Amino acid sequence: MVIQTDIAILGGGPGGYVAALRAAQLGARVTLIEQDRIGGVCLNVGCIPTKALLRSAEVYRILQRAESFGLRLEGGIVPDWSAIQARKEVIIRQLVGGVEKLLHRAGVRVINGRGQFITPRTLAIEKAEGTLSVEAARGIVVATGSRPIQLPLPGIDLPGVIDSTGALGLEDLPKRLLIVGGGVVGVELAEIFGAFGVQVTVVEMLDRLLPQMDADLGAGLAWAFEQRGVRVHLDSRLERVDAGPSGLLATIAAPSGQVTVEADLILVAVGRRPNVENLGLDVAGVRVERTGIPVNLQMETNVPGVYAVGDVTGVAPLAHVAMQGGEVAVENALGHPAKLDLKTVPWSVYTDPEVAGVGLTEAQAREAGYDVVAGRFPLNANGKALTYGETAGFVKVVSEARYGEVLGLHLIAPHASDLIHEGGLALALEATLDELITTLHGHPTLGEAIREAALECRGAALHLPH
Amino acid sequence: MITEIILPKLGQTMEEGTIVEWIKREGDAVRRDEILFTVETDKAVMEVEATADGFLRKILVPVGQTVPVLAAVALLTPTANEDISSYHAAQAHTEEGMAVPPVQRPGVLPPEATGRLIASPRARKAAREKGIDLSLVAGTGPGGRIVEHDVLTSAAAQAPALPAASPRATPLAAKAAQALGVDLAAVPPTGVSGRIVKADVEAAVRPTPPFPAGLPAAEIQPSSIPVAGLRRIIAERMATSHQAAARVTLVTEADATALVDAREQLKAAVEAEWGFAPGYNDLLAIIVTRALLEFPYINARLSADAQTIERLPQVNLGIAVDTERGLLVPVIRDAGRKGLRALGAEFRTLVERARTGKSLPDDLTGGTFTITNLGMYDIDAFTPIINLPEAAILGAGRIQARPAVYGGQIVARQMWTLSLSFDHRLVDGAPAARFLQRIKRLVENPYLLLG
Repeated sequence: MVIQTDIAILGGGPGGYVAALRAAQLGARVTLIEQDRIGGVCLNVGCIPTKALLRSAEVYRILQRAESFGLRLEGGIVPDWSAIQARKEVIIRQLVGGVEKLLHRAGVRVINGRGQFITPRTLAIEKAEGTLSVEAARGIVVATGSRPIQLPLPGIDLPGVIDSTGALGLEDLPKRLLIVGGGVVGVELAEIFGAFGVQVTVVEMLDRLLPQMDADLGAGLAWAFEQRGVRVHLDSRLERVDAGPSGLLATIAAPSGQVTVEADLILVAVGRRPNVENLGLDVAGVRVERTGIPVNLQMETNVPGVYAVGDVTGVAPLAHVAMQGGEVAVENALGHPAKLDLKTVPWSVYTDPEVAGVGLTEAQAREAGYDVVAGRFPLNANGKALTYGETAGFVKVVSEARYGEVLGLHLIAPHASDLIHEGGLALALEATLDELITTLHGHPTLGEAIREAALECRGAALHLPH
Repeated sequence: MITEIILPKLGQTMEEGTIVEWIKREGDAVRRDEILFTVETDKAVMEVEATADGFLRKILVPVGQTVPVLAAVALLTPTANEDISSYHAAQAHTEEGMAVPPVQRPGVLPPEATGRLIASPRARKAAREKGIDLSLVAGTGPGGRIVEHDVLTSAAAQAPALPAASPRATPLAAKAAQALGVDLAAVPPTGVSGRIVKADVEAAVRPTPPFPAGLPAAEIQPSSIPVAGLRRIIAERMATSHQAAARVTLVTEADATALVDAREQLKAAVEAEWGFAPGYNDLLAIIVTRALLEFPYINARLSADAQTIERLPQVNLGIAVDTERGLLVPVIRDAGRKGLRALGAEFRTLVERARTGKSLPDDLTGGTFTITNLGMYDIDAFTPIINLPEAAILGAGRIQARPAVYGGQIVARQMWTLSLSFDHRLVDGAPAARFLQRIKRLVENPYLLLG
């Protein structure tokens, strides 16, 4: 059977389903091909489930500190892992169901199966009842996402060595967990399991946690982790895994020499690789590199009419970048010129406290040749943070000396993932320190700290001793 | 509603401009961002775009006339035959100091309708006392007339009112415009909702193509091509050079057979890696640079008052390039510190920018010596004009197999004619000849470059 469509989309994750909704909104006939569950990694085994578990962890942590708020818990509080998991599943089901309903209401044709290019304009899907082919008149969007990287190390295939998908679905909590990789995924899982009493050790190859973010953030988070017993090994590399008498033995090359860590489970979270195999990309002539399918800011591949969005492109592997990319791709395919703006991409990490950044890090700004002026404001001088009982953190504004251009905003704070958008807006509107400073910030709020950090770029924060 | 088209301030030092050409005629429909006219400044010829949609109702400043920046040069109206008597009346009345209906002006601009400032006597007095340039003061009085308050405000701000925040620019763009002396009203926006962003301001200070690309052929009368724009700059410089310099041209013939061989081998060896095949211009540039470092009296110039000969510590080598717009000379800075690959790559970048009209201000200035090559047109010897204030220029002819005496036999050799024009005011004949002889030696024995 041949299906005629305007836009065909390979993959129903955040990039793919948003592309489908936007294309339908623009009046196109849309066909979405997904081999597994709508929502992709993000909804099913990524952003959403981790955030569900993190919220349970956060509530648990607050309750553990109840007395510091003047609340006495009588009888104690017991985390029920299976109930926590069940809550997570309900949230996933609700969201996936919601997206499916949206696609249905938008008139998007969803085909369950695995699509492959047979020409640059045609996809084939093998089904039990025969081969379906989808002919796309306006464009095909590849949004097949990514999967965790496996390390080629001795013992890595032993039972008990898991990836993030495995970690999120665990039926029982381990006693000791070793996490390889101190990036976003690694530290969020460290947060979850650490909160529920698992003894967590994080091993990071580079010299700080969250190496892709501003250096102060990783250092701040490492400090917070150490405070509550999460062990962090920096500049360290997993070399091998062996089965020991009472658990897995991980051999780690650390600056101090070789270290052996015993753990019940070893979680490998060292990054993700693009899903580019068996899609017929070579048949369509789409260029593929080790990092993914190269695209321009219009999300165009080297083949006219073929677009790629999200993790499969290797560009900023974030759900919100995939979503924006999906919109941009179909808008271009349907004759509405659009471009992805990477300047305002927020990076948010949902640890306790949260970590977020947007724009250039201080180091990137220096590398770019700016005469950098950074201002920091600690949360222990912020009234709202004190009332929250969350004073471990800071706000850092990165600006430059010539015009006071705001180049980046970086923070560790409660709700950092929500506060970060003031920085995104400043970047989008090309604000300077003056605009951050003259914008009236309410009191008492955490956002005041952003204004104070902007003032501190001029050495003029009001609530800091000078 | 009548919109004045003003002569924008296109550069930090621009004070006035001469209309070179009206691209649009009176009565033409004009869209925002379409090119209206070209204007020549002391630096270059630039295009000026319409700041609004409408019809070019009236040209106030004809071709050839020079007016100060921010003077009104034309009127734009919503209809083709709009009644503009009110504008003329307003101009007349304003001169008499009476209140008149204001004329809409694009952006925040100082009032200066016809080149004359409209300011109250008290404002003029205040301006004199405070040392304020009235042409930089935005008037808030009737008809945009500058009143004393405007002058005092401007003095208090201690900054020209000109690049004040325009509602269409981002805060950063407004600051950049102020720092760079760019008039925001003249900057085409590319940001969201037509907002001017920093990149737009930065683009505005880069010189625009000196000649309008794709000039409609029908509009050029073969019998009367105006000497304007780049042509005028070339005309003036060449005439000045011809009149001022005591030019002597020396011609020699070099046996370039070894250089041709070397170039072929080099090409085969490095083309894939370098991304370009080194050509004779590149090789000659290396040779000439070497010779200039050895003969510093050629790498020199006469001071502006012709009282001093300045020997220059570094070789900034110009290479003449023929472009659609005319002759341009991109300059390779500090060529003495560059190898063949770096020099060749830089030259190609400079040529690309020159051909596409995207040259940066420093691309075309500051040369200490120039090479001009007409070999591709089968020219052998010629008498190039010196690119003042430089001391000399080398003209390269074609490389051609010609009968030559070599090893006592008449054989075919790759011969290359080289012509050196020098300014006898700075250099005498024999020293100039020694310089040319050194170039000939290096061409004939390229291995000397290793020494």
